[in-house]
Amino acid sequence: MSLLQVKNLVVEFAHRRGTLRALDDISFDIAPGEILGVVGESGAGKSLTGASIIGLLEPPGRVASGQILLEGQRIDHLSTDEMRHIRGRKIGAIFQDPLTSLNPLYTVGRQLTETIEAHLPVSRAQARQRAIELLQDTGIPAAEQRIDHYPHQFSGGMRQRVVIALALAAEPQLIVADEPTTALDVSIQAQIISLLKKVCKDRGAAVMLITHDMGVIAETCDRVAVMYAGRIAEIGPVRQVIEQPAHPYTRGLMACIPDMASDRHKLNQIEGAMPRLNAIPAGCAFNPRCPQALDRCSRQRPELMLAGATQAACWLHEKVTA
Amino acid sequence: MSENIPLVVARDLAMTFDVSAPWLNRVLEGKPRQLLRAVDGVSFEIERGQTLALVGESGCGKSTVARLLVGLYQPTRGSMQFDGQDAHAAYRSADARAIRQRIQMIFQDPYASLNPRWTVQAIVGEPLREHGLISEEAELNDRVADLLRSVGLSGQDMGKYPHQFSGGQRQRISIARALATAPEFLVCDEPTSALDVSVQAQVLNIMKDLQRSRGLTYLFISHNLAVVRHVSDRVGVMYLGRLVELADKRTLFEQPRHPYTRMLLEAIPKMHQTGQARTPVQKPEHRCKARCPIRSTHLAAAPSTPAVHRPTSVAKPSDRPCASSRAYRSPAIRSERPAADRVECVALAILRHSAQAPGHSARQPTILLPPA
Repeated sequence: MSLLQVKNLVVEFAHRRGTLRALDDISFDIAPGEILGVVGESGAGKSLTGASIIGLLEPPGRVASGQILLEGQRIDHLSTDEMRHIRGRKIGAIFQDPLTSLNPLYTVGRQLTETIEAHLPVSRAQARQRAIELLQDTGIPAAEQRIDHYPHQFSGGMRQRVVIALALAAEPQLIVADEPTTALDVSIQAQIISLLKKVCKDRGAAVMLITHDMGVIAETCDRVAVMYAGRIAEIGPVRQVIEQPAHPYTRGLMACIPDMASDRHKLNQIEGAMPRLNAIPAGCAFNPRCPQALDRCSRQRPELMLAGATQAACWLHEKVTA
Repeated sequence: MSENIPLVVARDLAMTFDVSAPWLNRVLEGKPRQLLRAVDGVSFEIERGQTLALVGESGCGKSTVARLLVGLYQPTRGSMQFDGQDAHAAYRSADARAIRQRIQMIFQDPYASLNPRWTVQAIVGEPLREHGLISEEAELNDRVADLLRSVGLSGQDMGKYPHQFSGGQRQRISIARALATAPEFLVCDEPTSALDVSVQAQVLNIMKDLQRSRGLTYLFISHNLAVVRHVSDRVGVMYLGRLVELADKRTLFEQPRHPYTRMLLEAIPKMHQTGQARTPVQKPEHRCKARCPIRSTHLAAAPSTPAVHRPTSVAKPSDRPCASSRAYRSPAIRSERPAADRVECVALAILRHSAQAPGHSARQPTILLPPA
């Protein structure tokens, strides 16, 4: 059974001049121990998907319909208190900027032991011992001394390791990592990504990795979901999505990325920009920019359908399912 | 002026910031002065119509170099020649406008670098008015419309405010503003890092087209090696304020010589290598070793040269500066052929010295010419 199921999730923002639909009918699932990548441009709804799962949607944003199930239990309509027990215990979260996700006034040890004590039945001394082990596992040297340091005494990469330790503190089954390496240098990014991959594999935790970096997705994930204008455009095994993208948007996105291997004189570009939420075109949201748009694309909205080894929301692949 | 000299020649540029404690604390607590060497002796040339890219991690001094070139900082040492004249003397002279017109800058964040209360017309037209190039309103409007069209925006956009544009469009407005005075040299400090890949592709294509049509010379600063590979002719790799490798794009990407360059190249997540293992997580106490693989492998593989660094007599790697960190403390010997590819590395120096004269010690990091 899948660990996390998201069914027809719709997130809306009530606004003076009507309601904006930021996530429109998103469905996917994550199996235990799996790493699902979520990729897309800014404003595609990646972070919002993550925030809905961990129950941190900021008002006026709200889950308008659909379900989020963790181990078969609905978690999208829980109270703040009930959700607090799930966060940390069952779902860990890692955010982009490690400096803002740590409290600058507390030592990292206090933040770790607090989390451990809140979720696990252990004594203070045991919690501290466990915090030291966590710091060691995430590759922080001299953990016994470092545990009493404040966040500002750590470098960016070290801080992100502390945040990973914090997310793992109560042994959650799912980690939602929202752009965990975007604020870091490439060389540090490589370390953090392989660390995240290793610790999650060791503990059997599933990861939802939100990023805009296709390279990170390619090296880390088992499956990937490509988002565009609040919908999933394509979802499938990472190799197929990258090597044989089925959706024209995925193809365009891949071609935009400057490649270390080829010497193209000009980069391919997708003309235009992603539509604003108040002006999402009818039919397929990508149709005005799509080089292969059909007549019906501007009238009828495609749902995810089988396209080779992946699923794509595109009418081009309709005959495959028929 | 003369056509056969490079447009931009930087010689031993250095910028030191004083980060000491306040005077009173120094007196009372006996704290010493502390100097931060943001840029510590950087030399390069850029030929007309070419792009030199500077890459490196945050804090390596790339942006300081950019600011030195456009005259936002006065260098503590060294000089920059622009078209045969001393640029920093020109920036200080009464005629500074003449050189400022010819050198312009594009900044990283298109959200912070445009005044939100000005219309696009005012933003793009400001350099024209400021430099006294155009005074009539109608002519100014025509020129601004031309500039906007040259970066793929519409002339009608000039009445709008920055918040009405997306990130990519804003960066195009920045480019239009930088182009307003018809400069020859553009310093671009991470112009696409704040943008999505699809938008980045649009902006990079515009920059390349403009370079071709106007013969622009670029200094392109980025931390993204894939982008650098796409836009540049030559690439300089910076580490802790020094240029550790400077080479043609092709040479640098196909045969990186400095261990740090190799490490950077290996660290990039690659799209078509799914699921491969890469650089293992290194414990920071082994940082020297981790950051300088060639040194450890060389010293391990060639025990016949222990006289050079005596690796066996060292207890812990962290106790002494490794070859790469020492490289940035002591001055380097510069090569006599500045235009050729340069690498600055102790480990490579050892390799070379030991090949030539076994047992010969190479204490000073050297900028080496690669073997022919």
